[in-house]
Amino acid sequence: MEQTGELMKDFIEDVVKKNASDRSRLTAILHEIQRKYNYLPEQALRHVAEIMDIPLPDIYGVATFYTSFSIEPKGKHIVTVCMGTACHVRRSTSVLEEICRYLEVNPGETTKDMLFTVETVNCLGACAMGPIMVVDGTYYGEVNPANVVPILKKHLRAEKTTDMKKPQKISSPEELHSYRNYAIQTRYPENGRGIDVCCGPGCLALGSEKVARAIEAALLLCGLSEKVILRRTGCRGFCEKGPLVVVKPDGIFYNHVSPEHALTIVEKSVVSHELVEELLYEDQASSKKYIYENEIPFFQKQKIVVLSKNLLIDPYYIEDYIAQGGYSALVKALFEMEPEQIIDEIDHAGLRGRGGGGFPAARKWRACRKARSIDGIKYVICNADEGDPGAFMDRSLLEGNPHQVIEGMIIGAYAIGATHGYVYVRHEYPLALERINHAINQARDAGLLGEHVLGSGFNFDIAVSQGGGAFVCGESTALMASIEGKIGEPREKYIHTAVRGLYRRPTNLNNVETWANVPIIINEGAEKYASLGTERSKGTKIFSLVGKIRNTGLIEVPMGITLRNIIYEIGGGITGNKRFKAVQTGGPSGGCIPESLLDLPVDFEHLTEAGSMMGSGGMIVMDEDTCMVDIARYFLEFLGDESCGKCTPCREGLKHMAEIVREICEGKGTMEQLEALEELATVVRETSLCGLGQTAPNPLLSTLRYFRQEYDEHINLKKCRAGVCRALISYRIDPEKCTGCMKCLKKCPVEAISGEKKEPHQIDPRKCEKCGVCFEICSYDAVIRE
Amino acid sequence: MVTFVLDGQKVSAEEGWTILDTARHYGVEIPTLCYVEGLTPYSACRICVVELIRGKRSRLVASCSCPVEDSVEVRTKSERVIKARKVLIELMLASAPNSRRLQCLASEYGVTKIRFKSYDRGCILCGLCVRMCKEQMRGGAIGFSDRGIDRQVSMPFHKTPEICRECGACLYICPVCELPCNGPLKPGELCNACLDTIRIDPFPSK
Repeated sequence: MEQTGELMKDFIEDVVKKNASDRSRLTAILHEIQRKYNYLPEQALRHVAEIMDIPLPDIYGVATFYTSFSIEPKGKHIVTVCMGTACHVRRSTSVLEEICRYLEVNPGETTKDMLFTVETVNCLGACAMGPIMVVDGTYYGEVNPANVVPILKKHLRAEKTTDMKKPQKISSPEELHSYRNYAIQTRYPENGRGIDVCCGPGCLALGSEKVARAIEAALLLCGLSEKVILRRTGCRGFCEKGPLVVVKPDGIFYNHVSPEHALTIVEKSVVSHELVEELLYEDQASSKKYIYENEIPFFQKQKIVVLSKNLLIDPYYIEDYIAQGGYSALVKALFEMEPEQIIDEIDHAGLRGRGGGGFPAARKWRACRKARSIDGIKYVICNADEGDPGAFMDRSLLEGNPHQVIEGMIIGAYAIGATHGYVYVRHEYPLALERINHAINQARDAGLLGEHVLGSGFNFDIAVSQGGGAFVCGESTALMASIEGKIGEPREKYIHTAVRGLYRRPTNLNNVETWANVPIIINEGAEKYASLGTERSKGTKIFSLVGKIRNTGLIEVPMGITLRNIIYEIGGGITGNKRFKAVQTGGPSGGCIPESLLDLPVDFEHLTEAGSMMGSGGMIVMDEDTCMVDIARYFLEFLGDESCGKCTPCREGLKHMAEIVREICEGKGTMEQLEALEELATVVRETSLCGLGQTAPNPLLSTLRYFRQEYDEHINLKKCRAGVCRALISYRIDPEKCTGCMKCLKKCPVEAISGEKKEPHQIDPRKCEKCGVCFEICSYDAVIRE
Repeated sequence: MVTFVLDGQKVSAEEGWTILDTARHYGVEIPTLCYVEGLTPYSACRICVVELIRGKRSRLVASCSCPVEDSVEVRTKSERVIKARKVLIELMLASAPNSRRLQCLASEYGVTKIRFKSYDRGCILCGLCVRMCKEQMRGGAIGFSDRGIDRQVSMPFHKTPEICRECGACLYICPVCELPCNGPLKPGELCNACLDTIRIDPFPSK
C-alpha cells in the first residue's frame, strides 16, 4: 500500500511538472490522473494541491464540478449514451433503459464487478447517427433497445494515424508562395487523380476509417499508391449517407461505401473510369441516380463557402491547406493592411458572432483593441465548447479544417493587438482536440505562430485548453474561469470581457465558425462577402440538420433562406411519411418553431422574433411523434443539470420548472401550476446572472406560445397526442392483425406479453413498463399505442 | 462624478461605486443576502435586483455589482422589481424555510404562499461563509462542490481540514442560521408574523 502511494506521488509529480505547474493546465492535469486511475483518488488530489499550492477546496470544487471527473472509482469499460436532443427525439431513453436493465445499474453507476460504468452525456455531436452509444471510445450509431446487448459484448479499439513529417520553416510571404507551389505539386498532382474518403464525425461513426484503409490496400494491390492520392477529408455534410467516397478527377460520388467495395472502386473508377452503379446516390423521392456531388439536391441548394476547403484537404496536412490558398489572407493582413483597416473590413462585411447572440464581431474587436491592459497582454479566445445538443458545426470545422480557424485567430490577434490565444475545446470532442493540437504544432513549426509570424514583427502563439464536461463553460466568463483552472462559474458582465476578461486582461472571444469566416472576408473583400445574406445578417451560416428528417447532416446556406427550403429541399422532408410538427433551433437557449412559420427567413432577427434564436446552428426537426411538453421537460432537465448552481433563479427556478412540467407529463398537472410556471419563467429570464439562465425559459415559453393546446390536453384530458408521455399511454395487441410470430413476446424485457405460436398475443397491462419495444419491432402493425 | 436618477431623485456618485453603494449612501433600502461589505460581491442571490433604464431599454441588474453610469434611471422598488423579488424569496424559502432573514423578507414583500415543492436544505448557497473563511479569516477551509441543484458548501471529502481553526466566522455570517420568530417551521410553512406591520409598497411608476 505504501508503495502504491509512492508510485502515485511520482506519477503526479511528473504530470504536474509536464504541465509546468500551471494552474491554467489544472483540468488537463486532472484529466491525465483520471485516465490513469479511472477516477480521481483523494490522495492524488491532496498531493496536487500540495505541490501546486492551490487550496484543496478549490481543487475539490473543480473535481466535482465537471462531469468528466469522478471522485468515485469507475468500471473498466465506460458505456456512454448520448442524451442530446436529436438522440432524444429518436428515443435514446429506451436505449439507456435497456442497457441499465441488462447491467442491473442506474445511470451513473458502476456494476458490482467493476466492469461497466453507465454514463449519460448531453450530446456527442454525432447527431445525424442518433441514438448514439459509445463503449470505450468506440461510437455506435443508430442503436435501439434490441441491439445494445450484442454491442456491450464486443469492444473495438480505434487507431489513429498521425505520423507526419514536420513542415519547413516559412519566414516571408515569398517563402510561403514557393512552399505553396511545392505543396500543390506533391499533394495535388496535375492529373488530379485521387480518392477522397470523408472522415467527419458521422462517417467515422459508420466506419470510414476502415474504408480508407481498405482503399489504401486496394491501391497498393493495383500498384497505384504512388500515383493516386488517398485523402481523408473533413466532413462533407451528408452524414446520413456515409461513409462517403469521391473519386477524382471525375468527381464521382459514392455513398454507403463499405470496405468490401474498395477494390471494385479502385479497379472500375480509378483504372477504367467506369461507374460502380450500386454505390451511386439515389434520390428517395424521384428514384433518380446521381453521379456528381454538386448535382445532388442536398448540395445544390447550399452555398458552401466556409466549409469549402473541408472537402478538399486532409486536416493532418498543413500542405493541403496551403496548397488550397491557405494563409494567403494572413499575408495580406500582416503585410498589406493596418490593424484598424482589418477591423473596418470585418465591420463592412457585417460579420456577426456565430456562437449564438450574433453580436457584431468588429465592435467587439474594436473595444478590445482600445482597451488598456496593465502589462500590455491581451488575449484572443476561440470558443470550441460546442455544448448545444444537436449541434456539430464547430466540431466539423475544427476536425476538418483546423488551419482556417488558426488563420482567423492570427489575423484577429494582429488586428486587436493580442499576443496570446487559447482554443477552448470541450472534452467530449477528443478528435477535435487531437487535430487542433496537431495543427497548432504544425503552424508553429512552419513559423506561422510564435515569434515573428511569417518573418513580420508580430508575435503570437496559441495554447489549447480542454474542458471538463460542463455546458455552462460555453458562456464567455465561465469559459475564462475554466481556462484559469477554476470552477466554470460565470460572473457579471457589467464590465465587458473585451475590457476585463481572462486573467483580468482585455480579451476577445469568438466561436469557431466566426474565426473561420475571417480569412474569407480578408481574401475576398467585405463587399463580396456581404453580397450574401440579408440586410442585417450577412454571409452564410452552417447548420446541423438532424432529427426526424430524411437527409441529416451538415449544411451551409446563405442567411435569409427559408426554413421550408432547408427542411424540404435540402433536407428532403420528414422521414417515414410523417407530418412535420416543429423545428427546434438555437439549442437549449432557443425555441420550437411551428409549421405556420415555415416560410420564415433564417437570420438573427427573424428567429429571435419568433421566440427562438440562431444559436450556434443546431436545427432539430420534429414530427408528429414528438410531444412538445416532453421536449420542454427535456430542455429544462438538461439546463437544470448543466446550471452551475451559482445564482438562485437558475439553480432553484429551473428545478421547480422542470418539476412542474414533469408533473404535467405524468398527467398530474393543474392549470394553476401552469400559471405559476409562466411567472417563474419570466423571473428566471429577467434575474439570472448569465446567458444560460436568461435564455433557459425559451424552450418552455416557445412551446407554450405555439403548442399551448398540447399542455391543455395533458392537464385537462390526460392525453398525450404524440404517444410519448408514458403515464398517459397504454399498449395493446390487435388480435385481428397479430399473426402470433412471437417476436414481441421474445423481446419484451419484462415478460408482459403472453400467447401461443400462431395465436394472437396479449399484453398484461400490470406488467407492461411501456418501453415500446413491441411497438417498434412488430412487422404487422398489430401493437396499438393509445 | 457620475449623475443619475435614483427612484425619481437626481443623485451623484463617485466613479467606481455600485448602484448599491450609492443607494446606501442616500439611505435607500435595497435588500441583500449574499452581499456583505468587506467581502467580494458575488451577485448570486439576486435579491438586490433593481430596474436599470437606459434610453428606451429597461432591464433588471444586480445592484451589488453593477457600477453606476451617467444619465440612466434606476428604480429600486418598481412593480417589476417587487414581482421578481417575491418569486426569489419564494424560491429561497422553498429550500431554507428556517431562515429568519428570509421569513422577514417574506412578510415585508407580502409572500403568503409557497407554490413550489419545499424541502429543508438549510442553505441558500449565498457563499458568504466561503468568502468569509477565505478573504477575512485567511482560512480557505471550505468551498463549493458539485454543481447545479447538487451544489453545496463543503469541506474537501467531507473531512475537516487542518487549516480550519473552528473560529465560527462562517456561522456568524450565515443568513440562514437564525430561526424565525415563530420557531422551527416545516418546509413550505411561512412565519408571516409581521405581515401587515412592515410591508413595503411599490414605488409609483410615474
